[in-house]
Amino acid sequence: MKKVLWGVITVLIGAILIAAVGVGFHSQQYVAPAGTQVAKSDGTVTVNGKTYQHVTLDFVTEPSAAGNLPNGKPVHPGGNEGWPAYAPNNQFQVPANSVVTIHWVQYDSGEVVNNAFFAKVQGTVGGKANINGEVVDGIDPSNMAHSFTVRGLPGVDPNFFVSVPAPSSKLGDEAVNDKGGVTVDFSFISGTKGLYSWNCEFPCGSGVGGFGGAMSSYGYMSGYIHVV
Amino acid sequence: MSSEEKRDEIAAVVEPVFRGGPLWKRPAGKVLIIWVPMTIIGLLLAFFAPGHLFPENMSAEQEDVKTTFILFTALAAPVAAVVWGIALYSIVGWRKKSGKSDTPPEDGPPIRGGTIATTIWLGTSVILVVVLLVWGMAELSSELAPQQNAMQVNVTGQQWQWTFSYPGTGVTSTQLIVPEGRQIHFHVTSEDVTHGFWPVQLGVQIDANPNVTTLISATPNKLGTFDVRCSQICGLNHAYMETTGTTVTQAQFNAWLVSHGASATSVHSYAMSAK
Amino acid sequence: MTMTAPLAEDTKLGPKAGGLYRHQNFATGLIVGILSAVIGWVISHALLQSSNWGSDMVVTVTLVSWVVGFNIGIGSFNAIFRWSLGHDEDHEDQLYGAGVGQGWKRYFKFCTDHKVVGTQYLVLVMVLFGVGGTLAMMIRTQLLTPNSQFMSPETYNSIVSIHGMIMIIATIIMVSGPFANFIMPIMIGAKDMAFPRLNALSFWLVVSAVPPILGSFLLGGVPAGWTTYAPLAVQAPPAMDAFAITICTFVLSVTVAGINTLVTVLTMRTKGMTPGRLPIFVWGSIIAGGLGLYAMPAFLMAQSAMITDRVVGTSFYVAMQGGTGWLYENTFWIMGHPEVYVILIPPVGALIEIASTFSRKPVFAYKVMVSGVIGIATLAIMVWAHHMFTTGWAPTLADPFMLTTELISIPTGIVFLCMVGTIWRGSIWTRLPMYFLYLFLFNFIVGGITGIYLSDVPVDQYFHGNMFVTAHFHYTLLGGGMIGAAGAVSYWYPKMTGRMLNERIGKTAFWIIAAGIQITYLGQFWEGFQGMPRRVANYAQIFQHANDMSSVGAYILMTGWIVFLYAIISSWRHGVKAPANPWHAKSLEWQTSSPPPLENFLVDPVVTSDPYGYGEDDLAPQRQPQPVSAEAGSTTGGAH
Repeated sequence: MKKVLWGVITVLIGAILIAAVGVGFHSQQYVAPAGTQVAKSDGTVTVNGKTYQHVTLDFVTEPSAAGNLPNGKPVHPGGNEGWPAYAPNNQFQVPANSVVTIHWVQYDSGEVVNNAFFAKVQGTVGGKANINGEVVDGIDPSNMAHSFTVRGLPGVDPNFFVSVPAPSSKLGDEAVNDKGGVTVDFSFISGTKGLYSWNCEFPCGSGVGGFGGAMSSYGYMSGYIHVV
Repeated sequence: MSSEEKRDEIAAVVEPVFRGGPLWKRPAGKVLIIWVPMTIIGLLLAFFAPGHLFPENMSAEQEDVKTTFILFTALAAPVAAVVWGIALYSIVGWRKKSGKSDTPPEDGPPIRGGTIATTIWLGTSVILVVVLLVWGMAELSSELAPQQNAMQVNVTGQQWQWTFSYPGTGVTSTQLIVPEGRQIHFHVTSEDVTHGFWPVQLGVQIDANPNVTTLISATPNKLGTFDVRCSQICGLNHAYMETTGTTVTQAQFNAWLVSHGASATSVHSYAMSAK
Repeated sequence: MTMTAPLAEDTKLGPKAGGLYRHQNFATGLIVGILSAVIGWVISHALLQSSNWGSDMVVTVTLVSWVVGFNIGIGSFNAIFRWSLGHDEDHEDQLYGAGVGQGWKRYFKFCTDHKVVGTQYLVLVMVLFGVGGTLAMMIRTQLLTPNSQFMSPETYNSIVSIHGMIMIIATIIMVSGPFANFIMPIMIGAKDMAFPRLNALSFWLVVSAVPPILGSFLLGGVPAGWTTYAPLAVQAPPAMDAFAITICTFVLSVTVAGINTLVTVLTMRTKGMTPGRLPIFVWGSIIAGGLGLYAMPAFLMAQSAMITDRVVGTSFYVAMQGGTGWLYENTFWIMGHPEVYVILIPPVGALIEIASTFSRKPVFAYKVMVSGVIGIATLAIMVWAHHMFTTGWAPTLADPFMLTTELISIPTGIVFLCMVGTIWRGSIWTRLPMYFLYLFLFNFIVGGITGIYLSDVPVDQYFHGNMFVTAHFHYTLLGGGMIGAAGAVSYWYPKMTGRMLNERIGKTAFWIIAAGIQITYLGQFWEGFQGMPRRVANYAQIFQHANDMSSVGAYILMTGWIVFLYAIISSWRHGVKAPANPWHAKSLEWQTSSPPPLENFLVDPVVTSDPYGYGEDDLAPQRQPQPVSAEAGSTTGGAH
């Protein structure tokens, strides 16, 4: 009987230890301190004769995660010098089946993209985006900085795909945080409910192929969109 | 008992696998009684389970996978049943009551080997391996054989997206659209690291490697959508590197190309192209 | 017959015996290791940080300093230092090095006694399984729901990689560490391993290899799976340097251990221990050791080139600069496939000892079995490219590699023949080790047959990179290998600890583990059929039922292993004292006390037959084992 008791206690201790490790790994996951950006409601909008709820999101891309935003908050707390990052959020929440308008200010420098397909605007309302005041369906693939690419949710909304490129900052290779930004405005229609992942498709990280560093560290150039 | 008598007695215990007495009284017969139902269960599983487990067949290649799976399971069932049958019977029939005691039961018969048993065992496994091999090779060569009306699709993997382009038409898409009933040659490459191009329900797979083009072909034979997944870990968003493919009729395929900006002439020459 | 003076625990050694060893233990190893790492970090940080590959260089220099420093601190190189100063160790030094008179402290020192090294390995293996198992629980928890956000994909990918590699390291040493070190020399009647200092070195190298791989979580994580295919691994954060250094250190350890095992069996067999009389487990150990010597250096090469690619900018694997990932994939699998047999052959050998002892019958077809295992080892070096059927590397070689892969099922069949032949008409004594043999027979058939599907190229094109593969190799490595190791633990536990393993707890653990394995991995086969890829942090809704089944099974499995661990730990303290030969077995390790004295036998044993002469007492007296002469019966009394 005593042995059974001790056996149960051993299993419990094991379970507690494992759970503690689990809590540790769970807390490692990076969510920007500004938390999830809940899209702001902005009335309704009609697209192709159909009326949708309209919401807006806004974010910036900075050339260095180590710097500060104009409001004095860090771009990416503990962020590495020289790693580009989306700020102030990497997680967004939008309602399902509504028009989401994004206002994006891009401050990073640009280069040639490895796959010119991603220099084109894909899946937005009208297939175009307003880049620096010009409505275009793509940018110069040799001067691209980042993209905001959301992919479909397998088995739920597989055909959903939005990808919008942003060109280099006006300062070119001399890009610094919060200076010489270019604006990218576009709208897309959110899909069915689910947790969608987005990331940048321009190899702006380090290492082979440029997908190391910032590209491979969750929270810099990647995140989630909660469609609720 | 003289040592000679003892020797004879042991010979008598060692022998009766293949000789002596009615079959059902020999250990071999008793194992056979377990083996037969086990094999039947295995065969039933072989023929009926795969249909429920695999996703829908959407290509000739995936049909091959399922057929081969059924065949191999049917061949393996009797083999597994031999081992499990003996193991099971040994617990039922040969376990000694002293199992829990600290002293071992009396020694068993000193069988140090059996030429007949070893030969049958080896012979069976050689035959089975030859069957598997011949089947596999035949299947493989038929899959690799290029067909008359084949057409090419270029597949590019990159972290963490697939893009598909249709040569000559200028169309690039993140969705894979293929016409039904034609052998599709996928020319697969990667922009950065190794990915695994896997159109699941088409039953084929090939890695996408940087600076190299690898080839795989499949013949979609059923209209509908299928999943395209990355089967080779490729970093952060590997789990999300998925998209859908759709098998459509040739006419729908041509119309889709045109709707994506391809010129009618380029679509015509692409559709007529035979590799 | 040579007589050796019995060495008691309380043998008095001079106050200076052991020299430097007197002041060295695990703590000094840690201190010198950390100090050395800090020095390495300061210097490399100052000199190299500004170069192109700065952080990789700093991490590499720091961790290499740690490995070297730790081994200096614990005393791995003392003898070499002495020789270079023109001194040699005298007899008392060697006795000190073998742990004489140091009680439990010897387990934390550079100890040359093979029995101490074996016990150290056993504890290390259990710790590594604990770590790997904990990581497995993280994976299964993440996969409980689709779209899980329990962990970020980055953390998840790192956990998948480190779970894999920790488990591979643990399974490689799980039998050849504890049992080929503790039991195997006694089985052949040797006093110790041929190279006792190398033996201790092999252990402490593994210990020093563990912190880097665990530290990889703090260095950005390894996102590339345990296979760490290039160029993804070249792109990875500095954690990959830590991973590669762990591999290189571990390969050195396995190489040293492999040479030691081979030389021990070649040169240290007692009188009469001819090759034909070697226990199957000894055959298994040397074949696995030899195969490891062939396989592991390829991994050293693969990972050294990985380090240079990452640290100094070579381009072995970087396609944009003329390299190719296929080079890595080939060298990796040239290691990787023989390696699974390095893992599996020793437990299979142990299970055949168990089959013979608990069926009270000789091993069936001894020579066929040994040839079968040699056949497996030979074919194992010719099958590596079946892991690369879908890479596109050599489509023309699909047929030949399909041939060699399917051929390997013939010698594997011989292993089954030998096992069921040994059980056949035996007097089955259902003690705990025998339970594990039966579970092995069940699991390994499942693992083996699912391997045949994967050897068929067209079918592999569906199942490659798919959870089916994961389930397949867990059935073989866990359901086969680890179950064999659990059998070996329960079989040799009395010999190693001097106490009996509590069988009631052991059998409870057994049933939980047996059920857990089936639920976990049948669930993963189901995922595989449905088309779920491996190593994904996230999956589509359709896979949820299969994943939930697998996760629940995994929790059950972990519970079972913890209960088994409890049986081991509690019996170690409170178990019934073990007699010299609790199983009434005939091999040499049972003819001396439990645990055996230093140098194992009071009188050198002489062998006149193989150790399987069950039921032959009257039939053929010459087959009776006469391992120790009549007056050596006192050996069973033991020195304790």
